[in-house]
Amino acid sequence: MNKSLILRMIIVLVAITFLSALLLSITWSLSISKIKLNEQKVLETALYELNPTAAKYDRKTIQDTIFYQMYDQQDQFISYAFIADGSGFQANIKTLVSVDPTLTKILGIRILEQSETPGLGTKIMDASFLNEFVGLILNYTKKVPLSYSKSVSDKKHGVIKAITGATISSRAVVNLINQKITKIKPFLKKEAI
Amino acid sequence: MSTPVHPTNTQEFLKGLWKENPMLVQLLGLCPVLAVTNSVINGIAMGLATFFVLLSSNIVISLLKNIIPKQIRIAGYIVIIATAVTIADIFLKANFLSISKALGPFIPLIVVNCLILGRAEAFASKNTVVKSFFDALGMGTGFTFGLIVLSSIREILGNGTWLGVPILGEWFQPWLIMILPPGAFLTMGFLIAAMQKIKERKNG
Repeated sequence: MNKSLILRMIIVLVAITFLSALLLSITWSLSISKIKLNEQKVLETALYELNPTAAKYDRKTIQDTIFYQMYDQQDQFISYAFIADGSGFQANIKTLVSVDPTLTKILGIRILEQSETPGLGTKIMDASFLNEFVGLILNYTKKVPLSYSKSVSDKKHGVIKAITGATISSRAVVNLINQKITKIKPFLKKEAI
Repeated sequence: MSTPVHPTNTQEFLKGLWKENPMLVQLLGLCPVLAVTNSVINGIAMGLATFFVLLSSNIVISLLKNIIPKQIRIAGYIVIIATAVTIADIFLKANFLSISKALGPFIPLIVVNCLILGRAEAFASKNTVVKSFFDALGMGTGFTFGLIVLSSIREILGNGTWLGVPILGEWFQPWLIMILPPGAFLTMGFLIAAMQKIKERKNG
């Protein structure tokens, strides 16, 4: 292999990668504001969907833990919401969970981000699965307040029914909510007083 | 009539639709085909994203075919393809968030779809820009068409809906297996068999 060929190979490959990077950074800078806006919109829509009577929300941070306090039109504090994220079947799942002020009942959850298997794990976003969490009573007498069953749900004791064919994704959602609730509970109790 | 040695642009386009359909004849890019076709909207989105990547990579590669030394052509092609895929991914994230979320990792994975690199290596690197454009147009259409057929069968039988609209009544008990991975293989097999049967008849 002669020197000029080697030089040419290097120059061509560097040029291609440079142009690609340039093109990508242009695309990215044109889209980033839209993507950020999308994320914010998804979060706000989810917050108000979970709390239909809410009129505004406050974003609070205690020791790196972010949570939202929802208020109704009379400025009455009606509920908490927090983001619980962690590993799913393939990549991270990000959920938004809303709980009542006493932390005993889940008002509902929404999936903000996920990369589960299309058609199987992605069913964690379906209404039928999300409804499993509506009005779910957290069972603090057990080791974890939430659990799942493959056959039947038991809302009074914190048990949801997992999705057929997507048990791992269902379990992941339950696990990450459990972790977050356990972690956030002491803060929220203090905040409530 | 043109000789087969120099096919016309129309022929370059048409071959991707039927005779050399990338999905049903060449059996290329089957990973996304089998994985995302459990609903029609996913099939369409995947087909169009692949279409865009195929078109842009075929054009760029046929333009650069004399500049890229052949020793590093695969590396060069992959960078070009990956750029197109990332642009498609960012575009979907910014404008069609729900589709982007439904397809998850399968959009970035178009990079390794052997259909794209296959067309780059077998066609765009040896043909003019115009011919490569028509080749990509045909292959992209054929691929998208195949995805729509496959995902329609799977969504109707597996979920009782088409594009999310219920078309089979309450009486219908969805065949869950059709939207699970085995359903993809079964449907794919039947589609290929049907296609071969039609071809056989045509040829007498």
